[in-house]
Amino acid sequence: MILFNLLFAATVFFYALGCSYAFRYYKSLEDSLEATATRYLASGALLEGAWIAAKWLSDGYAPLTTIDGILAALSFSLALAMLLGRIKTPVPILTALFLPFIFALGLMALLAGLKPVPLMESRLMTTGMASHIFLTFLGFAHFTLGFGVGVAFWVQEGQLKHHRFKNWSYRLPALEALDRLTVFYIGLGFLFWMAGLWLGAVQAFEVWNRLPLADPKILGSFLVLMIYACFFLLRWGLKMRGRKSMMLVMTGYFLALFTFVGIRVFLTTQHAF
Amino acid sequence: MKFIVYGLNHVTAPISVREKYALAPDKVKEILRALKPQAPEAVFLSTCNRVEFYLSTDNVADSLDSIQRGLGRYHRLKPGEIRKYFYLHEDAEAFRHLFRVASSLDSMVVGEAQILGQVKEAYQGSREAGMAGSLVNGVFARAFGAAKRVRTQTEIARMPVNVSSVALDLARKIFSDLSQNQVLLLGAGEMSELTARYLVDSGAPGLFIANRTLEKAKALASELKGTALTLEEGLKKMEQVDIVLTAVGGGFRVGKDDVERAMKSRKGKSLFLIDTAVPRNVDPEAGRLESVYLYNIDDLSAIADKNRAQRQKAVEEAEAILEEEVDKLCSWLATLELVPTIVRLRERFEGIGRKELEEFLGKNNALSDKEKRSVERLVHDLTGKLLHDPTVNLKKIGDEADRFEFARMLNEIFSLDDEIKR
Repeated sequence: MILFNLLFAATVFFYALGCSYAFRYYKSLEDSLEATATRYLASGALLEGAWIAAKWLSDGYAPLTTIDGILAALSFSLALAMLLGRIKTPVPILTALFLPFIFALGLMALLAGLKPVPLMESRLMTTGMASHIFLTFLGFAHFTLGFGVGVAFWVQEGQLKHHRFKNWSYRLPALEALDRLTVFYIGLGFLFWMAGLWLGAVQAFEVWNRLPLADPKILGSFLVLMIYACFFLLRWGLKMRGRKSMMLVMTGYFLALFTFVGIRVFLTTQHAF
Repeated sequence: MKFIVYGLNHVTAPISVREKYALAPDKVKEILRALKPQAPEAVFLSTCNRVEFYLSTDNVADSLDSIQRGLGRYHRLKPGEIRKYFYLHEDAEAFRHLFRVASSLDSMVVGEAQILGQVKEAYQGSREAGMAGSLVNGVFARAFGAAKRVRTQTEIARMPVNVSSVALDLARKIFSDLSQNQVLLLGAGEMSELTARYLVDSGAPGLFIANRTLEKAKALASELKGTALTLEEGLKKMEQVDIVLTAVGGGFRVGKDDVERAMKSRKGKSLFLIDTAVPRNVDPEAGRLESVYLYNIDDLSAIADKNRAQRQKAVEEAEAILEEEVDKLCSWLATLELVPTIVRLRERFEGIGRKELEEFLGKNNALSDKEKRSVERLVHDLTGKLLHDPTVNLKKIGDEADRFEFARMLNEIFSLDDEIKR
């Protein structure tokens, strides 16, 4: 237990180091600082992945039955998505913006791990269930980053259109780069989300012998999928670009966020979280 | 040892004078070596805006004489004529001047990037001539560090301040690296031509030039390595190119419909329209279309003006950074002056410790090796701890006279036999 806690503390420590470099980058705009921040992010993600794998092997089931495990999986997914996006198109400002969120999630997971709160029975955590959760988390992480890039696009586009530039606007990348990155994130997120939903449906049939489509979480998840499908159809079919296209990205994300967090708060669902 | 800068620049001397002092690269080493007897370390910086000697010397007057004689001989000028345009800065003032030069605060166009490379080349030249010692190395390394801080921590070099550069910067904000984006020049005006050159130099792969008179278009196309078109062909070309510069006189109009038609076949790709004509060529309503970014000459000028104001603010921030760096450099140099005293003091204490240790060990032969090592460590640690605070406090003394006085006192109290030079 102590070893697991130490491993996770090391993860958070690396994220914190990455954060400090990200903030320094934001102040100085030196690319080398962002590169260092990314290296720390990658180190943290590696340790977090190792923590998840070790815990899975040690307990015999994925560490997704408690709040700390869920938060860790979420921060891991975000870190992974961020690293994948960086390989595709390095946008240093995004590292500076998102690293603090990843660190915050990691820190919350660390603190929650001190007194774990169970969310579901461990016997339900089959490999299929774990894959369903991880894939939807990865999908959500990519949608989150896609949303972030979309907002950056929205701001940059607005400035270019209306000729009103803020001082910090020089830190935003070009519209085309932001557009390409949005498509990359939403595309990958779409695939992960779809695979996650499919595995979820399989689980539902195994557990309940049916797919409860009326469940708000399942309904919401399908709607998210539909919105992003529309995004790609309009983009490739009608060549829709620019702000209208980003509107869809943002709408899709808000619905994904509501499905992820809001439904448990405002509605009832058969999902554990 | 003093560090000085002796030179002239665009403020003190007109171009007719500056060009007289430009030196061929092979002559630079010769002049630097001629200075060796007076100034063991020297750097010569020569750009179109300045000619400067950076020297570390014990004798400023002799060094200046040597420079004036050398320059006079080389350029066939009288010493009085040389002195008229030259300035001299010493120590902290000289550091500040070098830092301002390297950071481009002393340039004709504040924030330009070339000067740092030129200073680096000058320093490299000095190293190759064997004229860079510890002082020059330390001062120039800090100058490069200060310049880097200014460039990264202020907005001084980020904001373009002329209209063509603003247009180029906007193009980069839309299309990123421009290597995939073709340019269309409709008509010909000074500003649009210059912008087109900037865009092509920045990697735009193709340039189309359309004009009412095809002959004019061809002439310009051959100069800019572009393709000549008629105006009608140019309008059609809007479907393919990403950046359009317009400067057509005589009531030529690009209507909203023309742009809308072009956008339909562009498959959602952005179009950057730069209208430099007065009266304007492009219907302002076209700017409302999705993915169309329309700028006229006033829009570009307004951005350039705003950037100029921002750059002025950045200059103030940069000056504060440089002041901080100059202070750091002065503190570092102050500690260097004390190094001989500190070294002697440490040698003195360690010598006493060694002598006492040998005597003690000679009288106590029965001690085991482990015990001997413990006593040795004790003496070593004791010496280190006794000297730690005096060393640190000595380095903290800011005033030069005080520093000299403290060093002299230490020398006398501990009989260090150290030659302390003012």
